[in-house]
Amino acid sequence: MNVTTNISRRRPYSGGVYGKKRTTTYYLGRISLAALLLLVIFYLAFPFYWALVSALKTENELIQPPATYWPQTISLENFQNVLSSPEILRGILNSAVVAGTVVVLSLILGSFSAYALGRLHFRGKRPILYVILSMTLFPQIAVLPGLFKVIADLGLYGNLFGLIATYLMFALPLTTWVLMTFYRNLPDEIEQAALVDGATFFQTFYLVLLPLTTPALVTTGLLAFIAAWNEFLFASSFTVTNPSVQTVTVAIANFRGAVSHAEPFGEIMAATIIVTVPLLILVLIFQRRIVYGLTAGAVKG
Amino acid sequence: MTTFAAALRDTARRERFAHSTRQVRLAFLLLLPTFVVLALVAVYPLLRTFSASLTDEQFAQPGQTVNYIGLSNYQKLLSVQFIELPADKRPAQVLPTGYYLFSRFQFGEKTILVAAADPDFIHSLLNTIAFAMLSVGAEMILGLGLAMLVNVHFRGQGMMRAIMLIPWVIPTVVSAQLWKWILFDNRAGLLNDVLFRFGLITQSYAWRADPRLQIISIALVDIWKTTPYVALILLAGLQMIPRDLYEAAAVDGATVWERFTNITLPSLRPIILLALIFRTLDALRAFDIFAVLLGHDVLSLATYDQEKLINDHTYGYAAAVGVVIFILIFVFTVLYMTVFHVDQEVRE
Amino acid sequence: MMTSKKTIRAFKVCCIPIFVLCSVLLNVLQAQPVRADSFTLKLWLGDVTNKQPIKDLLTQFTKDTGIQADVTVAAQNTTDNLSQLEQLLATQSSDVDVIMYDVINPGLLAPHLVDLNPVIKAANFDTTAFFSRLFQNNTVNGKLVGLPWFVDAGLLYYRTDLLKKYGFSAPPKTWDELTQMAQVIQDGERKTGNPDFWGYVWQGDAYEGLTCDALEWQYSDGGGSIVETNRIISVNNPQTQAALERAAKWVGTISPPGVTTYQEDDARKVWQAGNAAFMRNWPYAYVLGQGGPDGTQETKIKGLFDVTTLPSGASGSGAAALSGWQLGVSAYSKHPQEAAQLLLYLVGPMTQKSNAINLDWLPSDKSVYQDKEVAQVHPFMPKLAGAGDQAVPRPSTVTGAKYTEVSTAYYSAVHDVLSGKTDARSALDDLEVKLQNILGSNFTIGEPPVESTQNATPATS
Repeated sequence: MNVTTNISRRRPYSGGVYGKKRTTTYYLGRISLAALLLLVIFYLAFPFYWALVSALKTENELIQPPATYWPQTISLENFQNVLSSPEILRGILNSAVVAGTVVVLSLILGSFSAYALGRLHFRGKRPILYVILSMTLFPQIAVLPGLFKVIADLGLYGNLFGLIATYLMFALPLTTWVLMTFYRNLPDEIEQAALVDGATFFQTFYLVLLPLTTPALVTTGLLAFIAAWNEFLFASSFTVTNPSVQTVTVAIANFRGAVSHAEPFGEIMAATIIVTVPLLILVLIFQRRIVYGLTAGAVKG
Repeated sequence: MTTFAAALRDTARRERFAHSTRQVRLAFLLLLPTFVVLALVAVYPLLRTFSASLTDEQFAQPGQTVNYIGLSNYQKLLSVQFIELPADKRPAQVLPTGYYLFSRFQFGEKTILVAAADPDFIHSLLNTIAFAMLSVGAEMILGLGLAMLVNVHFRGQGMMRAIMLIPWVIPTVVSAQLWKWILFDNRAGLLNDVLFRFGLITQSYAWRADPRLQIISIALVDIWKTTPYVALILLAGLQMIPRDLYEAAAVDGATVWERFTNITLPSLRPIILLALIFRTLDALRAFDIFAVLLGHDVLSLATYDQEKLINDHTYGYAAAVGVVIFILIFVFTVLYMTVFHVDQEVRE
Repeated sequence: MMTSKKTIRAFKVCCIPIFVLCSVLLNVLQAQPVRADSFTLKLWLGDVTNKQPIKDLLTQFTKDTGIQADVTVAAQNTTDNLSQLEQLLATQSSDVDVIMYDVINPGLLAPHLVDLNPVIKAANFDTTAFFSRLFQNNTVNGKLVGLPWFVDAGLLYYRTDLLKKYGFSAPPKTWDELTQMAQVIQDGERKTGNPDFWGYVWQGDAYEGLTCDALEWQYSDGGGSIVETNRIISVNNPQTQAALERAAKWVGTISPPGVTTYQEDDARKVWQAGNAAFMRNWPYAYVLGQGGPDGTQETKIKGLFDVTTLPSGASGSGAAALSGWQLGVSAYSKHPQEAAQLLLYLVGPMTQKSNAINLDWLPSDKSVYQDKEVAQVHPFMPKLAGAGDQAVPRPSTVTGAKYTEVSTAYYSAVHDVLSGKTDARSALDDLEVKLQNILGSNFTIGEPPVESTQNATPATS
């Protein structure tokens, strides 16, 4: 029972236009499909290409209209400058630690609550679900004033723990919600059989349910990781007192070149490439799981 | 086979009933840590924000006396008046104390002034709504088109899905920086240069400066970032429509358009509505994209709130703005959950 | 089958290793040498991106005194930097000792900073070398909250080659001259096939930089400085109105329509690509235009431009917005004595000279402008020796903690005029009332002082 592949493995409906007969219409259809797809790919990926090209140009070429679509001279200076800036590197490390910890914590807590909501029967489940779903849609800015004081009171200001705690605000409802949809779709028989065999609840949870939901955990973990990695508002507000804990989004937003007032777009673009590449690799490897996770909550809800 | 499973489920249900007290206790224990965490980082700060919104507290000013001022902050945010402007007077001469000019319009012969106690807030509210309508509307239409395109069977679909995830996965602060450069107001900016080369414009446009283009420009960025995401969600819905439906319709001689309006749209209705609501709520709290691309010039509700908090130090007032945003989004959420029965599958 | 004890035990089993892992990671990341007797002074840097020269100075300081010192990493963007600093001070954190702050912030930060008067007396430190307006700007209700570190002043950049090409013998002396010259050069360059060329670029985005630009326009026209030091809100006057109308006419004629989104570096990008005849900017653009600090980068305008003071308006003289950065000691520092020692070292003439050479900073100490070594590296610097004293301060000290709100209201109003959302007259009518509401009954609405039209002298001679 591999839940994650349910959707992607089902052969999609082909639209009925292209039958098995390889007629002229068929080939025309395929060609226009290919053309349309290429157009879409171009539209989606070109800005990223543009960042790369801009990062490889010298400033002299970059600011000179009209724009060039391939660097006249390829210069790695922007990348060198960014990689020699301790802020960006430390930002990457901080982001990895924060996002990683948030993922682990929210998966543990989230799988408990998701189990309760997905498989147990008790009164008041509906209001609890309301609350949790409304938190995935929480306007972060609305709690910022109050959160600022709470963080300061707890002494977590300017501390990675402070960020981790605040990120749970969106990561925990997210993991709970998505994991719950997975648990709900497991057949009752599984637990039943285990319980009949005399296993305790936690044996059932660990030995039977958890292995079954490993793909779900990976999916949910990835979503939480990306959300935490990309977060900006809290990161820029709560890491102030100790800039050595700033995450990578803050580092990029604050990134400036070697001269005051200057906004070196080439270097900013190079930094963009550097922080986006890890995410792109994740996406390329796990695209199927990420797509499933993104849609699971929506479709099954 | 099915009857056996059903019988087993029946037994299970009866057995479960017997253990219901135990289940409630277990559920409580399992939910407890999540509740504690959420209470600490979400509910309590929200309450703090709410209580601060009833005061005149200043941000980052130690040693101040904080006064309870009731609902004055909210009153100031939401006060709007319509005043007729006599022909011989200037607006400043007729505005009541504490009111500023928001807008004016002609009503027959008369000039009517729209005055607000905080026109910036009303502006930010309208900007946010305009942005939400424009971007979400376009994303829905384009997203549906893209979903149907990708739904067609072809080699490299996985690759296509990965490419569709690229705009979504890049942090908004980062992609907004990228677009800031693409939208630069001469031909060093990509957009102007492309339009020049295709002969569509003869003079560079100032995408982020022209009041007529500002909201459209950032909607364009949001559309780039979110359309593929919407398409992926709709795609999942498309793939759940049974093929038989289309095949039967094809046998009956239905046209492609008829099949689209009679099968695709009705089957997708719940998921379209769901994506619509999710995206609307996201657009209503837009922060990064406004902050990077339009700065202090055009504010959204979220950037306005931050300006009141950090720039103006009006902590209590900013808290009130936060509460208004929260209420706005909360109303949407509740509406969505009751109107569209999102919880219909939840077993009570 | 399942008991609460087991549940709890399972929680512990799961959570403990995670927390241990987190703590270890965090400790590794935040590892600080913990010794009871040693400490490191932290210097909060504002608008500084090239930190190495500062770090070198701190190393020197440590060698001289044995006191450890290091810089913090903060946002370089001025607005973000300030908000970060304020949040830090609001928590009364002892994480910073010496604070670098913008010229507009002494009023705002005064409650968080130590009075330096006793320190100066004790150390017998000579403060007469500082530009007096800059020095006075740091006194809030008799408390000396900081000392000036370096100056920034608005300059007019012009293309020497284009002036010559179109038959102009000297850079413009008045705004009207500038408008006319810019138009001639722009028309000529457009005809010869450069559709991207503009006459004049400046900072028109809705941000603090626009407050500087607009203050320069209105002050040079005799329109006062928004809120006068005697608590008079003077912004709504015909001179200011005329100044704003003149600037609004530039947008779309001699300045790109997008200038209303330009900050310093957007203007520089257009200028440095050779696509503008004139530019208003800070001194940093000079160095970049000449090919960077070491002069090795190729630029399109290398050797083809010069700087002068900003043009004058109806008052008969020009004005440059006073800008620059100060150093103060945090009231929450655990080592205020040593922090003050570091501060005095950093504002001293030797340090300023090194900063002028290595960071292209304009000294706050007048004597450094006469230094031969400085003049050799930066030939433009001696020309700017008068900048600090004759520049116009923004109304920050008199408005104190309300300054950012005042400035936001001001630049928003100006921006609305520039982008054509409203006319100058209504904008100023509205702004006047808004400022009164922000500032309260201690301030009254009135006219700009007559002397402001006479006192405004060109920033350099």
